Amino acid sequence: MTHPIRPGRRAPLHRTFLAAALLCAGVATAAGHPSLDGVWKLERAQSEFVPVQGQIPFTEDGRKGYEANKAAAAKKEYGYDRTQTRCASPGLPRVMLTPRLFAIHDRPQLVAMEFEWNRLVRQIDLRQGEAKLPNPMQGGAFTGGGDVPTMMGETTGHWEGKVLVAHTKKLSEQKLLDAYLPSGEDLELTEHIRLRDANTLEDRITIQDPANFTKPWDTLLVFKRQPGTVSQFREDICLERRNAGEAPLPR
Amino acid sequence: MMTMHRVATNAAACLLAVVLAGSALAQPPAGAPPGGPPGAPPGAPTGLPPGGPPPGPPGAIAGNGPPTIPPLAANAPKAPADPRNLEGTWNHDQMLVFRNNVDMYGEPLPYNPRGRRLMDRRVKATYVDQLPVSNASAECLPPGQPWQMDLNFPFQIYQDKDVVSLLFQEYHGAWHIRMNGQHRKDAKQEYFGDSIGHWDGDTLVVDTTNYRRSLWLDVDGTPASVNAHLSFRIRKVELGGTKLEVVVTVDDPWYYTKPWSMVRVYAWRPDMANFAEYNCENQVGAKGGVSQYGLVPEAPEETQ
Repeated sequence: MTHPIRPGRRAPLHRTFLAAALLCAGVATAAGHPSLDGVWKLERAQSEFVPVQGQIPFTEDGRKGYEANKAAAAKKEYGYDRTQTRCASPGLPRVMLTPRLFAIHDRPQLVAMEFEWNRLVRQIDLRQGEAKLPNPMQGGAFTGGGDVPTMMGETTGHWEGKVLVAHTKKLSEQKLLDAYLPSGEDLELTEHIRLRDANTLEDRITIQDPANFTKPWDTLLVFKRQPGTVSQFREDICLERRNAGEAPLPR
Repeated sequence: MMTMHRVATNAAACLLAVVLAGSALAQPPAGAPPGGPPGAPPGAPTGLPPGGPPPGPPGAIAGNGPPTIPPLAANAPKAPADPRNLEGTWNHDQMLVFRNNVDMYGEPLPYNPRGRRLMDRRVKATYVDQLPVSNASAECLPPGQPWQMDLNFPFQIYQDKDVVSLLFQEYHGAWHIRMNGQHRKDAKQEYFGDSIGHWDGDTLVVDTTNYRRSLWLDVDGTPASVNAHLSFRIRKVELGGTKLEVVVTVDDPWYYTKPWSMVRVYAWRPDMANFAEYNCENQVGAKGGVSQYGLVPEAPEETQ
């Protein structure tokens, strides 16, 4: 219940902001779930995933890879990380750690994430059954086959009430999970993405990678709604950053 | 993932397309209806050849040859009926035009001497000297709207009352059109320029200028300078299925004696909603950059 503002008194700034945010953000989609549309940013910049509980359950190989990458980074030797050296796509789930803005375009058949950094695009395919038409330009002569693992993999999703559940597979092992964690060829990700409130987005990521972890483990990212639209995104181009001597992936 | 294999297959597909399109390019574009093609920019009829436009069926639009991909399945979702709702996945399904020798009325491009010299130099570098010069797309950078939209790769449109966004599968292309706004006054320059738009009936009219880098308007390097004004008239049309028609007018006294226009048509393709991965930097970001693929930097004279 809201309280009327008395004549002659100005609405407190925080209440005005909240009302504006709810007006802008409280829109439900035709399917009934709250829309994720908007501009978002990590609440706190982080380059590594932190487990929700306990420690990361490394396998022996996973720990070796992680420690080797960490030791190399301490010496500023980034040969293990093509995002740092070449601006290659960080892929999933690392792209969710970019500390710049990203926008969500939430539509019935597709949820697209548009990242300010290097203008990366991530897609979650919500099409089911007959609606999932085969793409005539993939899996054929133009790509040389449709099962090549990629940095972003193949993500399908569906809504469970107010939670968007996204599942990703076909991920390349030639990347990292975050700044240091190695990635295996059988990596699969399950994300539960939801609005905690009108201005807070949560992405709980379950990481399953038997080559590097003895069991699946969860990490949690929190994003805050940002004012404005995608038109404020600048062209933040990784190769130009690198060639100017800046950190290719902003910290 | 833009693997080298895919680069090769894409290049092969493009070469095939240009060979097949050759006969079409040698002729004026067919089918402009009386009174100029739909969406023609103001003043456009002055560019018509003597005797009027070439004959064509009513409602036909200048095309570039047969579609390059199979038709959309009959059970595919339909495009939104609202003519001002451009949202969805679109793909240039006509033959790629490697070089805009003529405008959409069949008239030669109105090069000034500077533009003619630059174009001749680029063509010679590629086809005679076999030392093609580098450009934005070769460097994994956004090449600007015309080339970006010409390539036979999908893009998606998202829109609200403030912004129309076009997200492209390739080149990290993202084109944001601020609706009913003014051009920026700051010094910010971007590869996609600064775009403002408004609705003229059911046609989205966009003006773009202040580019970060001069444009190649096509694969062979038809030029536009950083201060060129490119105007776009974008609208939905029906040609046996929903299509998106885009008329681009290039107003650039640096290279041309007068404005000229080209037209492209894009197909509604919900089956291409899932983009293939674009990871160009994995190759070009390596030591040596584009030079490892035989491209050379372009001499700066007369480019702007």
